[in-house]
Amino acid sequence: MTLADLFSFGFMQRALIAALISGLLCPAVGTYIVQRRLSLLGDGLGHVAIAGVGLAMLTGTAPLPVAIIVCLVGALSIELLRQLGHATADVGLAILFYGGISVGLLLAALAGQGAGTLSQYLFGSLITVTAGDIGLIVALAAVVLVVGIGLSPQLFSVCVDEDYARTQGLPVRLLNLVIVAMAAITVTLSMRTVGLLLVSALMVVPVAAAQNLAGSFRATIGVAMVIGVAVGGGGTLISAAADTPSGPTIVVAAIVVFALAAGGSAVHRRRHPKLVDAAEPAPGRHVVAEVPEQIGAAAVVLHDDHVDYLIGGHRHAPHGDHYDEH
Amino acid sequence: MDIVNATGLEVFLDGTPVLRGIDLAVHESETVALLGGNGSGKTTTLRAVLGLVPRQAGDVSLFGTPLDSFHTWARIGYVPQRGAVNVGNATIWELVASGRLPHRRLFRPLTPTDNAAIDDALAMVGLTDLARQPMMHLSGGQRQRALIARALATRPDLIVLDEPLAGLDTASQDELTDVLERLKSAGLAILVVLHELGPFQPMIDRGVVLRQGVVIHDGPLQSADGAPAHEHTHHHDDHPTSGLNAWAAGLAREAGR
Repeated sequence: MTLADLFSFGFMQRALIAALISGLLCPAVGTYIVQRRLSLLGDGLGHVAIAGVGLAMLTGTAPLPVAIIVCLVGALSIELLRQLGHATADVGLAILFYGGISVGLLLAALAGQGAGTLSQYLFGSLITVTAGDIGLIVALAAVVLVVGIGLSPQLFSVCVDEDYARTQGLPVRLLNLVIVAMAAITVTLSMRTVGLLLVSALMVVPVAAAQNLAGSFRATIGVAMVIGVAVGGGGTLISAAADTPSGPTIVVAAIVVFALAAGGSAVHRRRHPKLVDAAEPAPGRHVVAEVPEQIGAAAVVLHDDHVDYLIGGHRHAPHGDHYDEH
Repeated sequence: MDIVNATGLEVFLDGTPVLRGIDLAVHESETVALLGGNGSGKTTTLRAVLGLVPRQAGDVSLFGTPLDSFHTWARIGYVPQRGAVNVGNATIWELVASGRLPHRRLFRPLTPTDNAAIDDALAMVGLTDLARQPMMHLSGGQRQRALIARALATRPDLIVLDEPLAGLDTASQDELTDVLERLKSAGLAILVVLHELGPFQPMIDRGVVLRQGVVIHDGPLQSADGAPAHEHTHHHDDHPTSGLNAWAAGLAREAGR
């Protein structure tokens, strides 16, 4: 059977649509999460959604809507606890991780299901996307994208600097709740294709790859979404052709793109060290005498062994100019 | 009308009294420095005035309005300590543009007025040519100026800075001083937390010195009534900078005890 034959089946078409939507959504929301230095939030929320899947099994209801509700309730509760000072982000995430997966396994066992049944939700399984799922996925993805892109200036300000955002009169608590709610929905919508244990990778890895290629926050979101769609779609095709689980295939594809982006960026920096002076319009003293004060957290993995990144950074200015940021 | 008026400010952090009855006022077009040693409460004072830490007692009003009902945040430009900002790979322009939020409506793009204010703010701090650079590639001095531009983008009447000179080399401190002098001559009121006066000292109209959560001096820095000022006023004629710095350092040392 050829790939084209395979995708003549409705369930494969649904799987591809779901994967493309996850690829679009995860990096869009992930960019805010990474900017806030909460890269593991998606992972914690994935674990909470497992509890929702367990509950759906026990009650015999559709897993996706129940998992979305449980994940939303869990995410908003933890964020409120954090805001009220009752839990640090660190401890909150630990509670999410272990509480969610334990409750999920317990409920699944009570429902007479083993960990084996749960694994299709943990690592993704293409054949499980139902027609009802697709309707819900498309509708909620549209809401998240409209909020995530439409409120981008406000969400950006909160992610960069909460205190400053407060002095702008922004409803910082509400915006933080919006961010975790978007993350909770995104994570759960992706459980069929990428899986709840792997979805966080699709929120973080395309963003990390995009940070090597894009020279601004806005361009990072755009490039990350393009990468997400490419690895979501490509990973699904490979998964179908090679008969591999979809989640790991998509995530490995994302990591390959990340490695190429990081490698390409490093080579580019080494090959064009001289452009610095040409690209630096201000009095040369700043560039020659001063070094970056601090490399951003999201890029530390990629850059902290390149002390000359300032130089590379200025050379990358033309990259930034490729993107229309207005 | 006072731009900032705080009376009897008391703040506890983790159960420990950090501010114990602080009075602070900033008048129109005035530049006020909050000075003191580590742990004296100067940053907490500033944060309490902006409502960023809860106060146990005391009243704060901004532009004549009690803090709890104050909504015209566009009149205030806050410049936090540099380390508090997650810049990621946002560009200077993106950071400065976020300063326009008090004027923007939800789901609306930037207006020509917004863009003009952003350009003006960048020009004021001398970063127009670097506007497309990612923040993470900047030096400490450039980053500090970008944060000031973000605060200016809202076209504020008061600018509040938290230790802007900390960790900067002399050249960057001098550039920053030029920026602050431009703001002062533009008529902005300035409230600045400083560990030491450094090159800012000639433009400071009034110093408020804190020690252990209490104001121990509030007035022009050159007319201190105590002996330390007198001793160092002597040097002041020859070395205006070092003399007053030494006086402030003496007060700060005293404050640190």
